[in-house]
Amino acid sequence: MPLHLTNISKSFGAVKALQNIDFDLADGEIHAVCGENGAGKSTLMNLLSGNLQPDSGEIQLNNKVVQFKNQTHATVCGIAIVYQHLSLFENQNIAENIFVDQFPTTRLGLIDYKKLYSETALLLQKLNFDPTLRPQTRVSELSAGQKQLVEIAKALSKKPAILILDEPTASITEDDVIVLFNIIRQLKATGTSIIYISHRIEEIFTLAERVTVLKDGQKVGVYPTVNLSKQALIALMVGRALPSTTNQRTKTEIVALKVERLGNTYIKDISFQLFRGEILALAGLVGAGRTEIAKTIFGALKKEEGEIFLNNTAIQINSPADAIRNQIAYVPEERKTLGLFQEMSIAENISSIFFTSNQPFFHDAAKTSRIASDYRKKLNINSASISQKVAQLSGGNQQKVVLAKWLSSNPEVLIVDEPTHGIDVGAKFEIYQLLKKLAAEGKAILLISSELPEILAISDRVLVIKNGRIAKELTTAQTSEEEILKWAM
Amino acid sequence: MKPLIWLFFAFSGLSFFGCELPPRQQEVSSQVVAPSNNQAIDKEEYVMVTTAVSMPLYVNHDQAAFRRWGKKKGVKISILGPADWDVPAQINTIEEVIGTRPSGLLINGTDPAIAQAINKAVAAGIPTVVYDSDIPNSNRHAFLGTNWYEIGQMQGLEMVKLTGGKGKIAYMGILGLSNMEDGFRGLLDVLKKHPGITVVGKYDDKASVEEAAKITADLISAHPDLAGICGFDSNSGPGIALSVKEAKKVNKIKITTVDWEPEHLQLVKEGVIQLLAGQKRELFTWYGAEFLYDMVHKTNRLSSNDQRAGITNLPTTVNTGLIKITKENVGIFLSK
Amino acid sequence: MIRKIFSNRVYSLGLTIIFMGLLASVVFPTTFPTFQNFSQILLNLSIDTIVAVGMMLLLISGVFDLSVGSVVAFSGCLTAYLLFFLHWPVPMALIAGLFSSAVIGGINGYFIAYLGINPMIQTLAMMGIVRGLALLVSGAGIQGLPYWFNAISQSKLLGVQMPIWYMLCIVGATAYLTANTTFLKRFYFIGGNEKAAELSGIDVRRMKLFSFVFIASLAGFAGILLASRLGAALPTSGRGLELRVITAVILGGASLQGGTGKIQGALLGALFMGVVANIMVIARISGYWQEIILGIILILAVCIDKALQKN
Repeated sequence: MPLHLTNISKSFGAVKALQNIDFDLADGEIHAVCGENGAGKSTLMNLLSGNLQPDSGEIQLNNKVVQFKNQTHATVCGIAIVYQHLSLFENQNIAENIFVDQFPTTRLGLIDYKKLYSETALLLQKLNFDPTLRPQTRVSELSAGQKQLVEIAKALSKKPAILILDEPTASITEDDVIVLFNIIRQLKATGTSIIYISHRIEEIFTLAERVTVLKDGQKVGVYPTVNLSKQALIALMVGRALPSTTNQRTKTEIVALKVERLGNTYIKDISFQLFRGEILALAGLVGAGRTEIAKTIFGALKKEEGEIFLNNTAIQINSPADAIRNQIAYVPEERKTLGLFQEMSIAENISSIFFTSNQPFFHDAAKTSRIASDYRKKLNINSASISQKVAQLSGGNQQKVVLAKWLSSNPEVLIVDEPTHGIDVGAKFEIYQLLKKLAAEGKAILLISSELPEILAISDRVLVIKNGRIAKELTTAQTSEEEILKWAM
Repeated sequence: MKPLIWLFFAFSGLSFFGCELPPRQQEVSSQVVAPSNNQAIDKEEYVMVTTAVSMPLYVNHDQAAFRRWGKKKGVKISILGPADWDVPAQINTIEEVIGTRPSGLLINGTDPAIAQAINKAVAAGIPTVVYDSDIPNSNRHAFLGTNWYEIGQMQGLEMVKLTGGKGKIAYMGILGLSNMEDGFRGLLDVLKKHPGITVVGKYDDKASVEEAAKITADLISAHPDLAGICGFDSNSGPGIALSVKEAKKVNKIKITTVDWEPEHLQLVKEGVIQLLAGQKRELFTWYGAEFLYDMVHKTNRLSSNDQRAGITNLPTTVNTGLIKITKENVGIFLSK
Repeated sequence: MIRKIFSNRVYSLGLTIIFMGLLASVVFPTTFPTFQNFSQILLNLSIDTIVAVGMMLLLISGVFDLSVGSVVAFSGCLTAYLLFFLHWPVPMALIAGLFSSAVIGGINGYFIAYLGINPMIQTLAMMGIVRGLALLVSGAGIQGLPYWFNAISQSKLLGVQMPIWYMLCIVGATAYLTANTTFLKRFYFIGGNEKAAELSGIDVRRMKLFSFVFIASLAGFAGILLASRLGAALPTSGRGLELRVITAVILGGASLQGGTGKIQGALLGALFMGVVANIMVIARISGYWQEIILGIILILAVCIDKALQKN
């Protein structure tokens, strides 16, 4: 079912989220939409899925003008959306999640469980779902990738002609990505048109035929992927060509952090050294135990065996407060749930590090707000003032706030967990620059990342983690994505 | 931090030297001040302060009679107090009302703790009458009510008669209320004299029908040979009756309880409840208001100047007596 | 500018109270605006406010305590029991009353912070247990308490009864310390995002334990003040106090999600409710209307907040 958007505009108050957007989707096409955060992708998707109505412009579906009243109406018209943030009910089983708003009923109006489970089984089969998992399996037992597939099954249960996928690979492992891509290609073959939104530029090139680039609510253009290079696409999104990160090595031979035979329920026998001026990357699949290693060093998880040395002296870390006292900082992976106080200001977020028990009894508000404004300038945090709420900032700026908070504790060892997860290309680049600069200043940095190009671009060494153990140590300059993946799988 | 420390010292110094201690002795009845009465009759207002103003028992009896009285006399009346059973809130209300200087205060004597608030009203020259339960350590001008000890006694005597002086007996009410505790005492003093009777327990039904029913059901299963249950608050009777009916033990387990709401009377008529020890609540507030009126209007002069003589022209304590309702006379109350 | 004032609850509520007071002074010129009436209003709300200070701190960190009403009754009854039946000296009985309240708070805090029991369930259970203990200790209530015990609340300073001074001191000190010390300010971070606070080196569990001990101690102190003011300990006192206090605190700017609110708001919320109650008494409006009107006001306040946030 072909889709045409002409001259669509949408504003929220003074903010023009979309201006005069044209967009078209052919039958059986995979059409990628990309742009930095705040470019207008989500607004566009919300217009298509009926959650928002355009201020002006026209949506044509199958050459007929339509106006979506709400999401249900859009679904009836044949458009289904799979959201970026998983929207499943963890306490229900797969089948109940898929048919949550359209349970098959018996003649008496009761739920027809037989039909519910048989239809779910059929859908799961179509998606090549792991055959050990039954429709009755609780969603809470599934992996992130499997949950994403359930989301897709939920969308497919509505038999859509057009499927919108919003960042479907954001939180799943490489394995699951391959499965997902096969399914997307399969759907395309059966005539479903797909709108694919992703931050990961490689994916756009592997999947899509055309890509529409948005920037600041305006359309930059639509391009066939065959004629486009990665660099050119980034330049279109950012509006300028990014200099490639020069990988200057600043690693010294002074050991900052030494970990010996660290172990607990999640990790086993972890030993490594981290040098000043070095960026050491922990690579591996989601769930391999990378975050657990970081949290154990930081005292957020209980250490059952092993020892931690800082500057060659053994230290006892039983809580995050101990780690902070020893000048170890940990920038956690999910900044929304673990890193930020959403309803508080930038200044308060940055100052939140000054509330450990070894701080003076009276809080020096003037000093902390001075630190906050320093870091706002230094890290280029794009905001109205330091008293702006962090909830109003973009993902990249939020990440900078979390980094600023930890940098203001003046750490010797900085652990950063997925620092560029879900942020746009421009901000990513700034964070790489910042990490390199910190390393050059002599800090020791432990980087956890699922993005292999990122690891290859900025790290000195790579530890590949698998099943809670170190599978292999690699030198970044002499390795490749394939080699890391080989050890990780 | 310096100013803080100074502030602290300044305050402690001030409290040490400037503190004004309360009067040493709470003299009882030595300074019964009859009010100097200069108010014009048309601004006359009588205020009732109770707690749990929405309780049906209070609304249908105390407050209804008080309203009727106000209409008959043609004076303004007001009923104030918290919606729930909250004695401190009742005290707060009394103290706030004192500032508005009503002609007379009619106070439900819910707890001895209201004594000080009553004394404040008396000291402010407001005629103050207490009803329901007496507040003995206060300077109130008069009290009207039922003797709860007698309520316990009446239930005890009837229970002895009904059970023939032997068997297991339980009782329940709202624990922690002084009038109920008096009633419990009256009951136990009677039962003590009959060695054939064993008291199996004292229970808190929290003034709730459901709770009373639950306690009764549990009692019946724990003591299948239970002979009788005595209830002491308005909701005990209906709750006990419900469970006794459900257990098909009507007349096997004797029930005596208090109050005579239509619900209670119906249960007596059905033969589920054997005795109601009723109070004449209408008389509390009707005559209480009448007393206040007489005091304000100096209806009866006992001396050339009652105020200077330190006396009031009211009866100090009035026992309104009890109503005994059994199957024999229940019809008369039902057709009221 | 006007929006800014109205989005800060301390200002908007303060202005509303002043406006209400002026209106009441016009309608009831002889009875409302008198020194006696104002000090009566403050005296009547002092008990609630002292507890509300602790409740505000709890709600800032995103939890609440339902057992405080029972603790108010229990501490008064226990202290009275020690004084009346065991003839303990006044200071000893006071310390015992306060300490046992703190222990109740400690038990609440330990179960909630260290064993992970839901605060609502834990404090609901504790509410019943402590009420039972109060009944057990005092039976039908204890009257005739010693003179020096009664002097705690019944004394006056500058013509104003002592509980008002205690309340002002507690509100002032806690407000100042919460705004300016690293220790108490942590509650804002715990309420804002508990996990992030933990990872920022704040010992969340110890802080929670402290907050429950703190509120129970305040409730214990309030219970002693109440018993001293009445010259009697009532096992039924403090019924419904927990909900009244939570209402006052939410009117004063706290939210059940945590992270927001100022200690001064607790006083203003209680003051607002006290003034409403006082005007109703003066206007001779019956008790159940008070509950209806307060309910409506609470919904209105929260709705106005939501509307302001949306704009």
